Amino acid sequence: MGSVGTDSLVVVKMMKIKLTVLAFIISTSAFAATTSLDNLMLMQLYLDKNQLEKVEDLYDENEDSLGKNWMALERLAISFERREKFKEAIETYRKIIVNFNKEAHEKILSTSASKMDPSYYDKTKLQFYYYKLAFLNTQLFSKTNSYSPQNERGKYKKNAEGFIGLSRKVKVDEGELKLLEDLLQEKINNDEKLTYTSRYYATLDFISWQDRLFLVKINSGIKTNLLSTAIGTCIGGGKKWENINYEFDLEGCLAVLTATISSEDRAIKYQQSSVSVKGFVAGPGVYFKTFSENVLLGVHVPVKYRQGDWTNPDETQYRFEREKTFEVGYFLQSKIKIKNVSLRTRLGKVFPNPGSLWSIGLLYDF
Amino acid sequence: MLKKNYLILLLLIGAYQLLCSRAEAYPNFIGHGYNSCITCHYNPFGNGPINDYGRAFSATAVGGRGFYNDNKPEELISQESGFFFKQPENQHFRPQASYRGMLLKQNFGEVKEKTDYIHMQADLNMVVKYGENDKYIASATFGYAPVPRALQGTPAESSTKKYRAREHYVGYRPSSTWGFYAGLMDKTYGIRIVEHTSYSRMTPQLTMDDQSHGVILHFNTPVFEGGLNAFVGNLTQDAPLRMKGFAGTFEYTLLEKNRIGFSVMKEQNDFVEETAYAAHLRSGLDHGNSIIFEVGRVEKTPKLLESKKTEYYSIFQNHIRATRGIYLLNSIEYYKNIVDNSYRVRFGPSIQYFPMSKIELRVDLNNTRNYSQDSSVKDRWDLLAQIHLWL
Repeated sequence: MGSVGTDSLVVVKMMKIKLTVLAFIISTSAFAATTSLDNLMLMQLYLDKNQLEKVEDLYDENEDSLGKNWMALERLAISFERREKFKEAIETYRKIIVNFNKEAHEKILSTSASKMDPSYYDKTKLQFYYYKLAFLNTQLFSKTNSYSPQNERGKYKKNAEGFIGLSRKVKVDEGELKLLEDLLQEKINNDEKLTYTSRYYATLDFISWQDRLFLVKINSGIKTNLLSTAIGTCIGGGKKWENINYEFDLEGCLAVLTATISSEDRAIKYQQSSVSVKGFVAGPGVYFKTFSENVLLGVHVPVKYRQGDWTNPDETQYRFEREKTFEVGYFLQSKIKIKNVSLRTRLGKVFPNPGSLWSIGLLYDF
Repeated sequence: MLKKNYLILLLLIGAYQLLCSRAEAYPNFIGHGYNSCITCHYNPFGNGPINDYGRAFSATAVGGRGFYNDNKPEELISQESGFFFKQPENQHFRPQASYRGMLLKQNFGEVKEKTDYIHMQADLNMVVKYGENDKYIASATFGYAPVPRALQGTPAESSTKKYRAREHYVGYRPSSTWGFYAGLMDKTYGIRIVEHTSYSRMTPQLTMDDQSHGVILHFNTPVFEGGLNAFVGNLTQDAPLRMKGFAGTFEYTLLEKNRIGFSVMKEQNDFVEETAYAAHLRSGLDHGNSIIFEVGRVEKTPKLLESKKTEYYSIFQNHIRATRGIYLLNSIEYYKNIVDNSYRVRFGPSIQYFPMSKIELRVDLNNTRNYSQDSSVKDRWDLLAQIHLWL
């Protein structure tokens, strides 16, 4: 009897202990659940108040509990997205998919679009997550530039296209997806426009210059200034390298002109008209497409060579100086493009000539 | 006596040619999609006062925003484009005041460089309009007219009028397609560009004071626009000097923002008979850019002398919109007088700046080269800096 009583006491004690432990477990769990719910509500409050950093801070402080809650992770991802921390947002959405939607996700991946059944995903938020991942990768790709590593640019583009495909599989709104595709395409087009492409082109210009040569009296060395005004055509071509912002070129043309030449002072009277002048003009240039893709402004550095059939009045007494010359100068130039044909005007100067050098011409791009 | 008058006439024409540009019409704005002048001007062929729409357009699309607060809405800038920065309070009266001055450096950079400041224009204008779509209008402009430079310091200076009516006319538009105008107006010929000393305006004698009393019939559709003008000369001039005749200009729209056209003018007074023809192109490019081109032939036959004169001219001008408020221009002009077989080419790069509504600043550099069989003459460079203010 005594042992029975002792056993009964032990059983009662054991039960008390068990109940106490159970009560402790229940109360602890309830407390944890309450804390988790409070934190979730707090995260939402921070989002509503646009205090985005606090969302992340709260998550970090309670990662053990919040990390197991897809709603908390979703709010964390949204806070990252709003702070344009796209990589972190992507990572968080991926975590939600892997930890909470793995089965449905794998089923979607292994099912072709034609056989896709809405029951695979309609109890999940995968439509939303796929769209977000497509959107975030598109954003990252759009923000890449020429300094971005090529593999990174390719990765974002590939991921964006992949998640757009998945989104389409789960019937995300087609309009939203088209918008993302347009953004991707725009970025691809802009990247292509920044790439330099080369082309050959032909030129036909009316060209005119005014330059000076000297008639030197051999005995005395006295110089008489002669001023020549020449006008004619210049036919040639060149090669250009252009992207959406700039156009660099290297070109040359053969010039055939006629000139009137006369003395500038009265010490000697010299005059000759319809003088044949030949030469070439060549050099590098650059255009800026700042104002428009079809209206370009730029500069050119012409190197000019010319020689003329100047008549020496008396070869025993006179000689020419600067009869044949190389000169360098500058052109300010504008070009208006209409498809393959461009209309170009250039005004500049070659040194040390007193007058300007100008040309009006047509260019044809091959 | 007649010979003397003829010489005075030639002197006056030459004197006006020496004056410099006064910007009033902007055919280049075809680059903004405005094919017809009547969109912005009361006069269907441009020039003179601009209408309410033109004022708003100049304030919100042409004028820069640099001097406005970033937060100032375009609507407010548009409202302030009216007379004295106010929105018009009545439907019928539109006053306007305009001033243009120019610093001219002739032979710029040379030993014989000469600097002048010219008050080119100080005008007051009043437009009275009535009816739906301004069916009835009357416009009058009165203002300062500088004494031609060739007459300055001569006995003729004191007798030269320094104020004149530049235009006064009434108009009736029964529909948007048709309009009838009568009074003192510019003749309808060629592209009415802003630079009145361009060869395209000097050669056919259509400069800043060559208006004539007459009537104009205007026809306007999106595809075709034309004007016929019969005139009897400026009635304030002595009767023998008045150029009487007719003029017409016609434009056809090609591919939305391009216009090709031709013009003809025949006029005479007691001393000279003039016949002029021209063909032109105005082409709007992208982003407000445009090009214009005009080529013409003018025959002047004196009635008292045996010296028929045939002249050719052309102008090519590109108008590049750098940004809102700033335009870059390049004008290339050609003039040939068949008599002496010489010709001239003028290259003129310019910057045009509209810092805000009602202010225009412009700098032109003109490089003129003469081509002659007789001699080689050094290039001429002129620098022109202009200010244009209007209320």
